[in-house]
Amino acid sequence: MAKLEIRNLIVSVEGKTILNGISLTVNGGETHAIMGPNGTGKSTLAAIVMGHPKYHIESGDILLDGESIINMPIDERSRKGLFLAMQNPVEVPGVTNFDFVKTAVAARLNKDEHLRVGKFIFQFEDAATALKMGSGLSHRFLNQGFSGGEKKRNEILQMSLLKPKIAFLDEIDSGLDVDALKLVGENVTKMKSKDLGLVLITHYQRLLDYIEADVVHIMIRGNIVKSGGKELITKIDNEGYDWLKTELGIDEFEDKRAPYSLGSCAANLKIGAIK
Amino acid sequence: MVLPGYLTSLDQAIVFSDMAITNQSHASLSNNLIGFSGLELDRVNVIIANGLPLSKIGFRFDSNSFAKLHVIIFGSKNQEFELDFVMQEFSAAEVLISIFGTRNHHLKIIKNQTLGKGAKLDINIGIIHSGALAMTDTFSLMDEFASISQNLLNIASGKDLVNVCQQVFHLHPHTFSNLDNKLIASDISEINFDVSGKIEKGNYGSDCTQNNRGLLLGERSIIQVEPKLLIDEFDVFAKHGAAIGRINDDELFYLLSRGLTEQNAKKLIVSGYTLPYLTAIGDSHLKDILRRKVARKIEGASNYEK
Repeated sequence: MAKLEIRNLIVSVEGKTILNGISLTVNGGETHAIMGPNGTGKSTLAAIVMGHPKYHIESGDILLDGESIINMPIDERSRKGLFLAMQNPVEVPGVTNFDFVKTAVAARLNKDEHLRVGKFIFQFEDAATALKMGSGLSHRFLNQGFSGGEKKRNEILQMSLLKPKIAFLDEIDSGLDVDALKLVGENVTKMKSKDLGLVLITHYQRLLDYIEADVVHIMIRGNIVKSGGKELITKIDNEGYDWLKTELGIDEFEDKRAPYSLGSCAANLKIGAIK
Repeated sequence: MVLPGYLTSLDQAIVFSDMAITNQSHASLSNNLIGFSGLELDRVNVIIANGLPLSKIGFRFDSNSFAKLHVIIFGSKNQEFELDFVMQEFSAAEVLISIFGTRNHHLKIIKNQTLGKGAKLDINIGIIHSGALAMTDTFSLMDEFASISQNLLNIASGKDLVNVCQQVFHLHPHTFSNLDNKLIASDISEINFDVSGKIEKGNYGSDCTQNNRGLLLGERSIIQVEPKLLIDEFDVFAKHGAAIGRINDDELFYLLSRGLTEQNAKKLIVSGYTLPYLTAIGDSHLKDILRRKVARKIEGASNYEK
């Protein structure tokens, strides 16, 4: 059974601390939901687990099945079983969706194994049909010209074919209408098994109506400040997050930063004009 | 010069070389003018090889005709010539142009396209040439519903120098143009594109589109694109753009996060530039050869795999 352990992780970007000693353990078969106000580090957590080079780990560790992955290349983490369904999947012009997914699946095979393309075509088409993505999907360029909903469904399609051990779904509900959200929820729920640990990052209860979470975490200022069951989802949906300010004794969820001037010519001209 | 077997074995071939001019195709050939009439689904391969003793080759597409054409410009010596495409009323053509050779040489090409009423011309060009290339590419849309679409791939490496001037003239209302340039430069190569589209007053309902994407694979490689729109009419659709840069970090992260190695991820991103041209090559044997030439040209001296 897969196990992801995040231990006292402190992460910074450009000198600013984003994750502040966060710890989380996700086992295969578990579904965790991470909620929290904007800018509290939820997406950063997912990106750093996947190995995004933009972030710097100051201290702490991330272990997958007992092995530290913080010095592991991004692609190796993926092949070890990590998956990140991204909030804003990038467009890669000229690369067809099918070629991309086929290459990704082939990258997981052992050296003595070969991808059976004929069989894979059927698997791809089945996954696309289950997500109601249309027959032309395989020939379309990766995410190019996709609607917001199509991009999110395409992330789930990749997840279903790559069969990860631990998957982070970063705001997979944004950009989805009610029907598409239900469809995505049903497809993800079908994938649930003791071999898959899920981490859902979301702002809204509606995703969790379709994908049941075992544990709900609230993240504030780069750390998990509260964990509990479904009752937390209802409370957040009804009352927002302000009640946490009282409970935690804080004024703001985000560090306030003063705006600063870029010192453009336009600004100088304007100052001169006022004088 | 002796042509390689993969060129001499092509069906429906017209060959211009220093050895001979031969025509084994359904197209007519007279005074260096190749003519197409009627509906012909078989692609004609026009091979222009070294030492061409001619300065101009013409392509005439009669009214209501349809033709498919692959123009292969092949050689190892300096060459200079003109290609003229004349599309008469309601003719249509799919033209593939491949420019490559065996060693560094200078090539100067003047390519003119003139389209009559309702004529439709789709061109795919792959420039895999080594050395210096200067090309002037002019499109004249003479009558209503004339439509030109051109996808161009240029790969430069080593010390290659490419200078291309593209001009589209919308000379009648309701004329359409779409130029799409994909440029890859590695090592100390340099690619310069000057792209302009002109719609004069009164030529309403026209559509003039230019897209330019450049990928820099070398620290000292250069791509310069100057897209220009010269529009003197309100009721038109026109857009242009140029995006030039190195491999995008976000694209790379996305592909790596799916388990592709960095080398494979970069190859896949680059293949996004080359795919439209390679897909357009019909003959599977020739396609394999040109695919390898494209791969070698990209990989040869570039540092993107490091």
